[in-house]
Amino acid sequence: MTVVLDLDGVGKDFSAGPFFARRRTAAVTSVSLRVHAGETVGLVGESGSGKSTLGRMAIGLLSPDRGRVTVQGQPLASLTPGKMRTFRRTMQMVFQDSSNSLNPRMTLEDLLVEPFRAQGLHTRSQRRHRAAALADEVGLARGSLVRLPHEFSGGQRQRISIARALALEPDLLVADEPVSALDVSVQAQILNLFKDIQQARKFAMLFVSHDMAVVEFISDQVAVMRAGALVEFGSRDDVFDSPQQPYTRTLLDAAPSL
Amino acid sequence: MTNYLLKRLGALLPTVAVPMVLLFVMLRLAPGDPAAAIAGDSATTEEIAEVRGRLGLDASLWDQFLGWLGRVVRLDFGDSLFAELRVSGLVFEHAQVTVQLTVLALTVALLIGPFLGIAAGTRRHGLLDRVLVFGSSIGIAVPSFWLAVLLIAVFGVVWQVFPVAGYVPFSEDPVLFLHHLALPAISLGLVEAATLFRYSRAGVLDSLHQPFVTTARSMGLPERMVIRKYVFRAAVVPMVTVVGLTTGSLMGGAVVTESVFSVPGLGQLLLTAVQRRDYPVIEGCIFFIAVVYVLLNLLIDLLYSLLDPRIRY
Amino acid sequence: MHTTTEPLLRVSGLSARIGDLPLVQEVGFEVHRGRTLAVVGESGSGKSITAAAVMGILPPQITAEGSVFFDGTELLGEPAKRRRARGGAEIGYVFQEPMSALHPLLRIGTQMIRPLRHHLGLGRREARDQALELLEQVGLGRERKVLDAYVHELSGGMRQRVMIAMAISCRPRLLLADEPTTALDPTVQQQILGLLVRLREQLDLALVLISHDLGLVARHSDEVLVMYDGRVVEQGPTAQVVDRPEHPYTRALIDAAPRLGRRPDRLPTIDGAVLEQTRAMAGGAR
Repeated sequence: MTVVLDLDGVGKDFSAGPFFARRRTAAVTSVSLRVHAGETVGLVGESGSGKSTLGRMAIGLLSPDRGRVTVQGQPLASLTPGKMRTFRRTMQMVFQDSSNSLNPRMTLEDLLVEPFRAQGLHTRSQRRHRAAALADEVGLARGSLVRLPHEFSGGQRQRISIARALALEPDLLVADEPVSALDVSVQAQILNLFKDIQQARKFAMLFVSHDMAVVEFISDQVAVMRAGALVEFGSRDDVFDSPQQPYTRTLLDAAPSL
Repeated sequence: MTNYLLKRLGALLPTVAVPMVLLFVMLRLAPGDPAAAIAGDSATTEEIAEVRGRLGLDASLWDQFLGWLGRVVRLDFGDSLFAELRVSGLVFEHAQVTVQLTVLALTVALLIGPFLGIAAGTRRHGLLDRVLVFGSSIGIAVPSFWLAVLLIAVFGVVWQVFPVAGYVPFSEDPVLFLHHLALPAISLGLVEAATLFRYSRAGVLDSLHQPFVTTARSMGLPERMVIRKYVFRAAVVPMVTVVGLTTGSLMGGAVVTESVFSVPGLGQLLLTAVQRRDYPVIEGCIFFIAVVYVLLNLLIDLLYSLLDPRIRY
Repeated sequence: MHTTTEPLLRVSGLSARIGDLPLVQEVGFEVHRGRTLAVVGESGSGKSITAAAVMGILPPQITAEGSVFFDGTELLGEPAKRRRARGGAEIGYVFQEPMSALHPLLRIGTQMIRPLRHHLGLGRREARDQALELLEQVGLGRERKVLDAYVHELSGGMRQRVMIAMAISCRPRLLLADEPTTALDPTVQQQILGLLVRLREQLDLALVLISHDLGLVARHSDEVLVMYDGRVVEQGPTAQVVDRPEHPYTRALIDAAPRLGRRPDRLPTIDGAVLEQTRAMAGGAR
């Protein structure tokens, strides 16, 4: 399997405190992690663990203070801003609250055509054709292509975000708490959708979540973060059946169960 | 905190310096020649040139600028071109009056605006609310000098309860002082009160639906207490910015209102100086106003950190 | 359910509407002192509206009818002032987001002390001592520092503990907690739910836990009420409802949540037919 995302000793500091007495604290200390094509790595941790910061560094939304991020063999740090623009096609992100990232005045079709337009790909009619195909793929009715974001439910809006992320056929998808704001019944649908499209498209996925049960369902590999550091990494079955770290056990005990 | 203050005071320098330099250049580029005004209508070209030489206005713009800069950094604006008076003295004397008028007008605005804003906001869609909202629309639409003329007509001419013009220093007679400044202060203050009313009403309406207000209600506290201690406390913070901006525009409004009421304030001084191209006086006035503006902004930010514990410098 | 004593709260035929749009229809349940009722449903199920109607803090445009019978008195239709006075003193309410439910510009102490002085008639000093006592009771220790803090200076878990301390401060008999742990990390969630249950025992409270997550409240409640589309779908002892749900919607809701230890390829989703049926059954039941 080819390595799509290679995080090598990646770290990020944030400064806090008064202007002259700023202290720099590490949001992420130093994390090394690989995600292969066709594989989902579940990144789990509590708030403040640095999991979202790591996710953002993985697709170049934040630049690391330490270490190296390599996507498809391309070190992100060596990309010029212009090259970065075209390279963004390869890496996409889905956020927790999709309603903020969807322009309220654009119809579903506009929203799905936009990624192609931004990258200057395809002709007009090809774009529309592809937009319709994307809507099909994420389970949005073609009849809804003319509707505006506020006319969709939360789950449907998350489908729109996923479709937009998939439009440019990325090799790497980072999903940051994509189902946390959803009801249980909708969450199940979206989780199934993530699984289906990944099996069909074979991209590498970094799935960030605080929910152990969700991570267990979606992941092939699991990475547990705490206070900016990676405390446990392994196959899903290993981590959930025989967790090596007490912290992982604490998280498992705290997870709601029936 | 100390660091923050030092930083802010340091930033004050360019904020004042840039408009001062622009003013210097613009004044010299603008048409009109103080030398011609001083020399008089019947003066010959030679006489005007002589005056210009005496005032140092015949030097190149660059040399004038260097000389000017040398004096201004020592806060020395020189003498008025028309009278043997120090600019600093003139500005100080007139600014006193303007500051007094501004403070009085601000008092009027603060007494009326926020109070009615809370009253209207807590009785949304009631008769009082609708009347006040309508009234404030008029208040915002009407320029203060127009209101000034109206007030003069009613209280000064028809009823004759207030003098129509003039000024008595506070040190001479406090009662007459207030008597003379009442109409200008009210005409300035009412217009700003309308703005304050709008903002405080909106602030109250916004706070009324905040979750923490629901919490206070859920704890069984009486509505009066909820409004006074919870709603108002939250609404007051954004008001500080509005009051700060208001004070700024009050000083601007004072310039016009002063001339309507013949109050010898900064506005009057500035107006005369502009008409006569009295460069040093204009520069002194603008310098004063710029410094007040910047200090006012600093004061607002400091007040903010006092009122909102989430903001710390 | 077979208790000989009278329930502290008996809600029956409760409906709420906004204009002509029904939000809650014919909801009924009972809670006894020392017991926990979990009200579970997804967004739009009407669970929070139900709680707000019991508390009497519905937004003015929502009207409620039916019966909220609390400790021998009918609360619906009671004059607003009397209704308000019961807040804190008889019914405590814990909100979902302590960050926004606590005043950002007032010290924690100030916010805790006001209801204490108002309801219990305590002096400033006594109220402050009482507030410290309460902080200890919710596991924050007798910390003056907490009383002097502002809400943004506390962690999420501490904020919710403060919120709970305030809700129980004036000795209510009924405690309503609306999604009290949704904004918190999983490890903290368990601590907070544990605290609520402990307080219920110590203070002999009737506790109503509102949640979207049946799995979360299952181990902390005695009875459960499942709501969908403003109606009650199923209610009964928690163990029974969880193990042998009678209603297909309840079953679907339980199955749809990913559960630790099960590693299915796909999660069962609630299909439209079940939802249609649920709507029809709940509607036809009346």
